[in-house]
Amino acid sequence: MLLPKYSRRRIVEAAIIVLFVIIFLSVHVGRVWDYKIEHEYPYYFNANDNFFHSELSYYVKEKGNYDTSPYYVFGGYTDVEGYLPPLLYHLSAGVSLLAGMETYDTTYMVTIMLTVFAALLIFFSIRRVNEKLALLSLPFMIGIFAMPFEIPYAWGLWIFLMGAVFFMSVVWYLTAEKPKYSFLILAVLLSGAAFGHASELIFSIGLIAVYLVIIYFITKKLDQQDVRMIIISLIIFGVISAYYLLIFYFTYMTIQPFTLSVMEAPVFAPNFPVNMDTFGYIQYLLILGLLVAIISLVSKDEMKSLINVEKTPFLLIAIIYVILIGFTNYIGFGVRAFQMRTIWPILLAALTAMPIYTGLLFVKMLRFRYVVPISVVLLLVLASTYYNVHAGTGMMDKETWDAFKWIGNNTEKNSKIFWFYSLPMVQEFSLFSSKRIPFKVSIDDYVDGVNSHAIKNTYNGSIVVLTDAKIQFSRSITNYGYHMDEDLFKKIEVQNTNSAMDYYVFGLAKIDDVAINYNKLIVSKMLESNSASVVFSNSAIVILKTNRS
Amino acid sequence: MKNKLPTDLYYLAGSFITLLVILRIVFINEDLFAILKFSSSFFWIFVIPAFIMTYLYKINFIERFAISVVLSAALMGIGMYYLGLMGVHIKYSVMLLPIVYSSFSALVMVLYRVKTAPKKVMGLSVPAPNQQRSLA
Repeated sequence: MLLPKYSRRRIVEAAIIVLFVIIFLSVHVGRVWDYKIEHEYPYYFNANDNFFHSELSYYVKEKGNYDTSPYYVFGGYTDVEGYLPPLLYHLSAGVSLLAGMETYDTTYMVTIMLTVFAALLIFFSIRRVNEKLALLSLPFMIGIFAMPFEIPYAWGLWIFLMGAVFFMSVVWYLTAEKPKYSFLILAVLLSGAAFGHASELIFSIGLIAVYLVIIYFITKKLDQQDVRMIIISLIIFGVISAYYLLIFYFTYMTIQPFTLSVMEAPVFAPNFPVNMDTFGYIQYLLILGLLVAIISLVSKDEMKSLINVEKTPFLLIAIIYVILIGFTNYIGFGVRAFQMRTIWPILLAALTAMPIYTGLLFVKMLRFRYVVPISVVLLLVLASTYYNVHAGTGMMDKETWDAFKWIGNNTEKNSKIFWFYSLPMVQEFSLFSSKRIPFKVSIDDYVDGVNSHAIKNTYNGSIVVLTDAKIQFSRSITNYGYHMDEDLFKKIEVQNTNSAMDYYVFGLAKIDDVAINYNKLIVSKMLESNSASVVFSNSAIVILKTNRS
Repeated sequence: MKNKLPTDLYYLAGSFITLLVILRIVFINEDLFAILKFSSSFFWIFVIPAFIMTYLYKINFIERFAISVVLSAALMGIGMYYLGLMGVHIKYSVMLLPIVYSSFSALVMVLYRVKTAPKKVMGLSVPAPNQQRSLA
């Protein structure tokens, strides 16, 4: 028989891991996806980023590569370099092609699956220090103590999660043994971070530097082999990533350079910053755990053996490092620091579990047969307590999605689509889902029309476009231009409806009744004047096409 | 560690069924065929490419599985990106790359095993000098 006999302990541990994966996926995806893996329209899309990343995955799937960006995202320019971290888009496009699923499903599915396996790597890092502490940590990794922890999943900070996956893997790498040739593993992980989300690459390299410093302090010398392996892996990583990092440098880093500035609240969720108190009651466990960790690090004898800190002191240092980088918003890392805080439940799980661990130790119940049921009960209690932190299945509905599909399938590629007030305008990047250049009505001008009960001949509007890298294009590998600086862009920045547009879209549901009635009035007037004809309509959206003589 | 890989192949098959069961529970309203399609794609893209590479480490199966998921993600994403820039459509590279990565890893592993295999001297096994750094 080839199968070896696994100890009962290993089997129980595996069962708890399976239970954790089921609960993690159920909480973060199953419940909000109506317990289905495929959908007729995007589920649990709540913000711009959800739509945007999903759209780029679709673009890569259709085009087959990411040498340029979709023209309809960049105001019609077809030469905009593919500069956003490409890893997620390629992976979700690949799964979409193989499984025959839509990219709006696979993009989130890939993200969540990678996140759960990265959480398991942190589990194994803790397990190397102490098996029982790892089992007690696992339930806290579900990470649903409050809404801010759900934001990366619900609001589509998916490329950040990709970076975080590789950051967690680097933590795993540094706490694991380092056999010969394991520099290859580190090189791949760092490259993954570079192609996943560059800020986590910077945090990962910082962690490696901290690792070398800590090893030096503990052993009073630097292990030559350790240093050599890290240098070799950095060289390999540099070779693998140079091309994309060059693009990244001339786009994001040039337009949004690092500055020593203070950010008080995250721009992606100003009302939902993660702080220690976001953990609710769990924060007391966390603070106690932090105290135990610090004492165990600095104390000489008993406390060190308490959590077997001699074995892997670096894990605790890494955890403290993670807390510190969460506060680098005060030295210029801004939104990136706030993003890291959202995965504290996974990274700080060992601290959260530590008071329970020490409590069990003091009452002499720190045995596997007690730890296992406690871990299972914690998993179930935490999951059931916080199961409904974020309710709902997102902002999209089938009717609106059908309108997007109709536009993408039935209009000319260079069509200009003018969106009057409607559901998708709430998160304007969702308009890219039409695969056409979107323009949106000026809310001020629109509200002015509503208030004056007047149907105007002209409504001001603006193009919806992604400008975070100034719509860059490359002249050569180190020479970039920016369409944002050109007159051509300025010309199309503001438009009106005087037959300048090819299609007009109006919302008829899920928005304020006043807006619905006003939209209906505009539609009636346009039809009466014979300036446009209805080409698509359902209960949520009506689309008019300009009649050109 | 001699029979580790063949044993792990059994576990790999078991893990596929486990993943299928997990996803079936999480997506209870879904058709089993859709879950099967996703699970198969997941294995092809996120497990197969780097699984053999993880034999650099002496770790248990679940840990090996977890790190191979992350490593495969990096290898596949980067590979598809560069091949795409070279004109290979992603629909081909997603099929091709797992075979390339796993074949290459297997080849390197076999060569390393041959290099470090104990040599028979007068009927007795003599370990190679660097045996303690075995890939297994």
